[in-house]
Amino acid sequence: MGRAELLILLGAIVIWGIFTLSVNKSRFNSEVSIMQSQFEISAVGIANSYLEEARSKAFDEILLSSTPSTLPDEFTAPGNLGVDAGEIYPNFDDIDDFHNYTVSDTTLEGFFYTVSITVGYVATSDFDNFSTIRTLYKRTNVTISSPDLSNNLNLSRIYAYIG
Amino acid sequence: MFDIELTGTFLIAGIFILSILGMNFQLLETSALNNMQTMAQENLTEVASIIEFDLRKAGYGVPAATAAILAISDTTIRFLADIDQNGIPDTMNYRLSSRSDAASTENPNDRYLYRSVNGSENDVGIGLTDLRFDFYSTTGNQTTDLDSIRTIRVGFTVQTLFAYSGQYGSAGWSCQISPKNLENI
Repeated sequence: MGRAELLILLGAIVIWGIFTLSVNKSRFNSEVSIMQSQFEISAVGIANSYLEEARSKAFDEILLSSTPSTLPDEFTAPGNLGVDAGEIYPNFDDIDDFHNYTVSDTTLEGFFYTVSITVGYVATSDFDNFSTIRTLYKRTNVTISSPDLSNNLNLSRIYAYIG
Repeated sequence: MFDIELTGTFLIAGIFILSILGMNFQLLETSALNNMQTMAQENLTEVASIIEFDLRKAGYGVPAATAAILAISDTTIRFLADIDQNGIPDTMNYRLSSRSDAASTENPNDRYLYRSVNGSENDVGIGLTDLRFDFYSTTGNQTTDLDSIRTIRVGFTVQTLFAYSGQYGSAGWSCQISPKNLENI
């Protein structure tokens, strides 16, 4: 075999190697996508669970002990939203107890995630951003972050006080 | 006479062809397994949306003095909800079949999920390998007392009906649902 043929052979091997590596990379990426979509399904379930749990609680702490006459002025002040003294998850009794609640856990499938929740009042003129004053609407934002997710997953729900 | 160049060429060509065949096989396998995972996930999201929709309605249109949850177990739930919004509460029932009901499928572990409305039963999902209901009171504690149930946790796993290279596509889901209309009962 002459030098020219040897070079052609080496070139063919290099091209074949690059092709094989790129195909393997593509296979790997496609498997990662499938796994991530499973993790995203799990993450949506987890986020919805917290939103449902928050919805099952009282709209505000004051409604548990009295029937306020001037609403929303008697609701918890925006700056005081958060867990009340002596309350520990899962024994929260109103929606805003979930404010600034953070927990990390792992599902049975091995999906490690961190849940971060924020709660605030929103006005009918702007349901997206928290209001600085009390209103009859509370918005709960749930963020699921995980090294297994390409992006954080955010779900939100607005709860209205219906007297 | 032994021709080393011809032998070498055949050897290299043989390795090359085997390599192409091997890679082709791996690509087919990956593609088939990914497709099965996708099928399982699609099946899972469809079943999840049906269960979620119905469970959220538990107690809807049911008179305040009437118990909305009628019977529960790890794999079954029977409850009242005016699902067709005709002003009359309907009796909803979810149950997981036995494995023998789905004996016609290649997967030996799969089962049907049956949903019935006022006794009229249909399968709404196949390929479920497990289903579990857990029930919680307003304090967040697990309960079996029907009147105390405020939150329902449902979780299930779906597998494909057939395998590829001995592997089934599989996907799992769980969610907690607090039906609004259970609060006043």
